Amino acid sequence: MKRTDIYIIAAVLLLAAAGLYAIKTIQHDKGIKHVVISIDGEIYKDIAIGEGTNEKIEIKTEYGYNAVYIHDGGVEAIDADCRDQICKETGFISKVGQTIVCLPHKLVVTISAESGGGDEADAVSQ
Amino acid sequence: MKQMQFLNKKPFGARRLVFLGLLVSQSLVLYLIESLIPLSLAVPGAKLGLSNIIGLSTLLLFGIGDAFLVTMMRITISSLFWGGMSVFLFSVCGGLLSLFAMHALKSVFKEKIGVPGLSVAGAVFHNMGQLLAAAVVIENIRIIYYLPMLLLAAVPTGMLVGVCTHFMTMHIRKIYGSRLSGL
Repeated sequence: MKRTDIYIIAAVLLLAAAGLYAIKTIQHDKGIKHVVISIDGEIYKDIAIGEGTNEKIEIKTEYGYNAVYIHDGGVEAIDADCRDQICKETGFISKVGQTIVCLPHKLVVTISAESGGGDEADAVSQ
Repeated sequence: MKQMQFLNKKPFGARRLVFLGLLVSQSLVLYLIESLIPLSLAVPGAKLGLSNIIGLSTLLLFGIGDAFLVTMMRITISSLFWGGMSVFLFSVCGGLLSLFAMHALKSVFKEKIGVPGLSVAGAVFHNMGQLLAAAVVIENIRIIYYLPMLLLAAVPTGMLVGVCTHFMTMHIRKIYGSRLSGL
């Protein structure tokens, strides 16, 4: 360990902390929430979620199969036939701005404050 | 730190081919072992980056040219066996960005930078490269939200890889250094 090493590690940790803080301020849990499912950049499904929304959605595309479960004002990926299963490991998300990604299937599940997956920064400033 | 340039004298000498082949196979084995460790349970998408032990060792021992060859061979073979075209794309973006970043840092700081620092920087740039490739593929920049968590994970994993690399290069220099330099 040399001094430059410590500087590099400190810089990375600082960057990570700043990033985590920025994301924490952007994400919030208020107002109307939409689950926006998009595949390959195109919106596949857009569902407004309320308190009682309880819905399982199966997504079959040319890239593969995923299943998401919308419940308790949030969403989680419950099944996927991909190799890495990272989308399932992401777990349950319920805040505006949070995202589940399944890279092999080019699938993105986002919670958005407006329909169509509008940018959450705009939603905050409204 | 004197690089073993002697291995580059004959571009396709048998000894160099065997040595680089060994490095490629070692990094493939590490890649396999790594896929058995479910680190991504803690941070989605995070990996130990064990193959970088070989990538960084090759860079330190033989320079950027051979490190490029070994990394590209490792990525090509591993995505042929276990991945596919998209895995190849992500690995190339992450692997090469990380390799060139480590080479640049090594060239700028020379003896002032240690192996753990290089390795952490390599891990960080590997993550950045993969996230950028992923953002292009899924056409959604929001995947960048994963970056802070991955940066956090890059510090301990990078340091582990750095320590392993330190011992690997130290012992290779000890075992082969004087014997090979006479060739």
